Amino acid sequence: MSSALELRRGTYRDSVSLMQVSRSVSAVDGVTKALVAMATELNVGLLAGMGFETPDGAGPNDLIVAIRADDEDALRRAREVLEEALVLSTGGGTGIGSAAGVPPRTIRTAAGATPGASLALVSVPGPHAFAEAMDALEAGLDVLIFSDNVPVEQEIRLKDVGRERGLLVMGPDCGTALVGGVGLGFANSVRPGPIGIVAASGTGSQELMCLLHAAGSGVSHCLGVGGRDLSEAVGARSTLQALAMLDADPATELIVVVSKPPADAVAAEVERYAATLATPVQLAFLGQGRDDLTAAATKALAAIGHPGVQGRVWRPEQAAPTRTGALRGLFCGGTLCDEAMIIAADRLGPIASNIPLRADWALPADLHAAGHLMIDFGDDGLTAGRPHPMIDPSLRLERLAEELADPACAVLLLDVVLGHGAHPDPAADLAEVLRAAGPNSPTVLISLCGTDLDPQDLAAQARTLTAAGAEVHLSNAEAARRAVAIVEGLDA
Amino acid sequence: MSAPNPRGSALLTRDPSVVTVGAELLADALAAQAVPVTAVDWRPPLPGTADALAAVLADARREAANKVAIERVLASTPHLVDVKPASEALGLTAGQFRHAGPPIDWARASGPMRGALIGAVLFEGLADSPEAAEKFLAQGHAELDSCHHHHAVGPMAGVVSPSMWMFELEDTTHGTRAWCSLNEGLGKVLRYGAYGSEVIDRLRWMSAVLGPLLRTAVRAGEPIDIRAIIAQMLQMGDEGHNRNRAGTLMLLRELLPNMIDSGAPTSDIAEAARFVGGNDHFFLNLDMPACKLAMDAGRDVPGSSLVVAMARNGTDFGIQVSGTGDRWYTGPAEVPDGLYLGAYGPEDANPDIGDSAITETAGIGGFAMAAAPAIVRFIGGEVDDALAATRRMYEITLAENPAYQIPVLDFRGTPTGIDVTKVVRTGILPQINTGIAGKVAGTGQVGAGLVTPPADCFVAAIEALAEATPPIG
Amino acid sequence: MVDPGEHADPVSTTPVPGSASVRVRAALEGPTRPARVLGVFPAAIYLADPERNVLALCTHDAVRLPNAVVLAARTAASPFPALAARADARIGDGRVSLGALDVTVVRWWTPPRPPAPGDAETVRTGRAALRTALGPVRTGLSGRARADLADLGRYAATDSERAGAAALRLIGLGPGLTPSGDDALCGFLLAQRLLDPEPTGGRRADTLGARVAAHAPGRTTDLSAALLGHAARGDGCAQLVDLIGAVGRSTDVLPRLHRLLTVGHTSGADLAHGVLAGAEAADAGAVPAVAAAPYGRGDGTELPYPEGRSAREQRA
Repeated sequence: MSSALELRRGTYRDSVSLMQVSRSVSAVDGVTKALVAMATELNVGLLAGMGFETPDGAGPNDLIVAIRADDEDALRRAREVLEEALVLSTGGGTGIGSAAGVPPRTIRTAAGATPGASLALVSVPGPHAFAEAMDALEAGLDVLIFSDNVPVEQEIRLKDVGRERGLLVMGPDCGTALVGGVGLGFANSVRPGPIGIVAASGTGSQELMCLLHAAGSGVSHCLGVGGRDLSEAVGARSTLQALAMLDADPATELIVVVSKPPADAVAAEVERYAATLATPVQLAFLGQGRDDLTAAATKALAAIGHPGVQGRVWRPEQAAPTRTGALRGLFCGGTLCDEAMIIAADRLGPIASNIPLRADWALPADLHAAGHLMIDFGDDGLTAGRPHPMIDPSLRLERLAEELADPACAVLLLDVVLGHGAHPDPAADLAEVLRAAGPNSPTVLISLCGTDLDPQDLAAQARTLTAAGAEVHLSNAEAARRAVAIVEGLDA
Repeated sequence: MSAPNPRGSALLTRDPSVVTVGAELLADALAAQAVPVTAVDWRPPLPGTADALAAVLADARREAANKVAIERVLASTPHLVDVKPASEALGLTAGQFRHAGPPIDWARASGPMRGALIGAVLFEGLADSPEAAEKFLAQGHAELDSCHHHHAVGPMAGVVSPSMWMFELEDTTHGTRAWCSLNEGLGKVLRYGAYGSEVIDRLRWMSAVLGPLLRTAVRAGEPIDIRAIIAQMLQMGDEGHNRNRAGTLMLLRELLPNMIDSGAPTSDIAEAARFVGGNDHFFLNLDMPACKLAMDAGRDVPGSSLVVAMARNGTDFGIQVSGTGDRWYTGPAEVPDGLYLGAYGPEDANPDIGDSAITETAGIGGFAMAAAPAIVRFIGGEVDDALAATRRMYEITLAENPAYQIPVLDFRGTPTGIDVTKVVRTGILPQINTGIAGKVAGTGQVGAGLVTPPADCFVAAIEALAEATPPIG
Repeated sequence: MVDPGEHADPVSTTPVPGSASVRVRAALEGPTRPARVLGVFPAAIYLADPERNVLALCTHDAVRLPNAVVLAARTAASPFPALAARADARIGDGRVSLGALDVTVVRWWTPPRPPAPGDAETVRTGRAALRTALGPVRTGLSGRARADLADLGRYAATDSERAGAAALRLIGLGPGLTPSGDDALCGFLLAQRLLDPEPTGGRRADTLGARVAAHAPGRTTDLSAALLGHAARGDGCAQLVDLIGAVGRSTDVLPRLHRLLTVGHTSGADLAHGVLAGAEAADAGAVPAVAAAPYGRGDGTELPYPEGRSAREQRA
């Protein structure tokens, strides 16, 4: 027989919750008697009845704990239950005591009110994103920061805190992620599969995922890291973190890192770390003289022994005759625009742009130039104070109508991005503008980034676009090559 | 470059459950994928604070500093250990006076502050008429300073003079002490700026009879655990600022046997018992120093954004913050919104006054409004408003006090420890329950109601905290 | 006043998105068929199609069975209508409908598997920790059932007849939707498969599992029979799989056990007792180290699920 008697001074609990605590302790196997109560006269009397002596100086503001058990082991278990029950008696998270009916005002409160929360998605204006993201990390959540215009020193601080706590910071300016089959931000629905992606580019990863899906393979997870992560300043902090996570994921057999070419030191660090992992890592750094996204997808598929990307094309029933002239690209996705420019510049020379490959190819502020040009409508400069063109297509549609009427324009190249977060029917608006174009309008080529599982339905979107006279490619690189061929007059 | 560390992440192993803040579209896209979404009702922070806020939030010391500060606050164990004159407690000498709120001089003092000072000068015998007392004060013969600068707090005008008696509380965890005057009751009382003869007579009786009797009773017994009484009163319908009825009776229960045993004349004991038992606010003057001890324990932690004092002198509202020492951040005190006694109305009200907001600073009073449904009508509202008010305060506080629980909220601990960053982020200002003093000196209490600090205090505090941060990166 | 009963509108339905286990993909993507309601609870509704495929339509915070279609709603939001038990239910074409509740499967989840166990000594240490922790825990198993479970643990590796007989006696033993005997058997089958460092363990689990799965229908509730089938293929709820992982690595056994004990009234304890016996069986099987042909372990290859292509893929 073992027993314990303890007096906790100045610990007040109401009698009802203490009765529950007593009951929990009494229920422990091997406990014969237990009393957990305030040391009122009545309770002290009960204590005496249990054969305990009254502790010195016990008063009604003190908590007494008295336990009798078969052996020391049972006593130890009883103490464990006691501590747990005492904690539980102080405030529940349920019932009207929780934030019932009151919407939380910060991530911290929301995380507290959401048992099992695993991730925070932050899309408040950039100057305010830091506070919310910090809350998420302090609450133990991974965080995806969709917002852009977050100062780089704040990004570094967040990523350092993330690493200290073993959490991942996706972003800032992270447009796309896919986690456990759930698309976050702008994301396509793709089949689960063996390829994990770490992406500094949102539309780049969307294109890659769609191509892998179209080839019959699939994606385990796609972790965005934000456009600046592989910069010298940020030093791939989240890329390394994401690589470690995917390496530990049993479903991921190959990891592809998608980014613009980083600074040499950063690239070397990523390569060095990737070499230490059990999972093979393919670095897809996009740029002049390097693989485009379609080639990167084919390489990844080959690495897992899967057949490569098969270019899918939907042609209009009646193709209008082509002509030579200027190539004009109107894009929503920065990486898709970049890829098209790299492919086109290789053959056609300078491409004017608001995100130019070379500083001296920059478009003037009115975004007009006589020759080849490509505009990224998703660039910060064109989205300030308005939604992304994947959601609100109006600016691009205006420009499309203008280019369709320009006799100097031979080919119009556009991207259409489907998936969660994007416009529910982007093809419809585009088709309307295309149908309104007069005769002798330029050839329209569309790179359609999407899958058959997307809410918009890839095939239906392609049908709408081809019916309006456009030629639709699943691969952005192939669409760009076709555009170049037409401009060069090589099209038969 | 240090190695990556993904050990805390459940991202790839758990089915996503997402908290969203910002674009509704992105939350909707998640809901359409059968993902549980908790959406934050986000608003921009107080105007002009974005940069300072980010700097403070990025301060690597902040989280640990706030943890240290709030743990000290929660660990505080206030006990009533003695009752003595202010000359002994605070070392006050003739001509020295302490007052509520941030420091103020006669020229800027409001009506009730002036009235209370006049009364105190009369009580100390430094002048023989209100006019003479006013002249004495206007000529700068009195030395004025904040109670808060001397480990003391006083309700309303909070005026303390050497002959007034004070409760002495000890924080047995931290070994610190704090003092507060004895409560005079309601109506025409010094703390509300009244200084008529009945006010002075009552103060004389309190010093001559009540104080010594309480001292004898307190010294005869064990130190009285004030935290335990507060914990119980919150479960008996008190919130510890505008309702102290249960606390007062529990205190009387502790003291009365020793008062009777003291051998003092039974008429004195009966009068003292009648006075204490008949003054529902008697215990306020024990709540306050208990809260003062708790908040003083949280002071001076570098990097902490914990508010350690909120106090008003009838002209200015001031707050102090753990990470920036004794500096006050002030703004003009606002007139409370409330109910008025008799024929009084808002035009008779003085701006907010008193150190009693130390109760809200420590997580009771207005923050524990849900515990006191009995008084929600008195301060203008329904029971639901009381629940909502307490719930709202969880948004701006660092912790829930396990010792102070609110039955109707499933025994959730009271929201404790105001964080400047959270106030600035949400724009939610601390809710204070308060009495309302007449603005003309000598009037006394005219009502009771609700008030919040001016947002300026918190804007100034976040800027000062930002200046005090080390550079990030 | 019009009597709403006479002029009631046809039941209006709003589609609710759901996330379904890949293990019930074939049943969900077949043509729409009527279903029986097996039980309605605050956190879950159990449905069976005419082929006795059982689905658990459940809230996000419910115990996630390997046949679950999970809603985003939490139990506190009471997403299941009170009259669901009497409503018409249908399964198929990627949907589950039940009266006014119409759930569309929008994504798929895969039941978890534990990490590979450590060496035999590590598993033994983990098992000892489980035995100690489980000592005082109350179970729903009768003395007779505990004896059968002990027999199962003792003979699974050496006397498949005797073990099989004990297993069959456990089926359907006890009250409720998932009788205690079935719970113990589920824990046993999973642990035997997943804790055996030798490939033969998988084969033994297959043999025993196949026998149990074949006998269960009709001898216990449809839900329990379905769960035994999933356990025979190596799938259980996360709390169960986590405990097996903990025993296998000999880490965190106590906290994982406590989490499992929150499942059901005594289900958690019964499952844990099964795990203990299964771990013993896995160890007993490992000692002789009989050389065996490489054989799948824990990946369900021997009792494959019909992994149908999605209806949308088929149409595309």
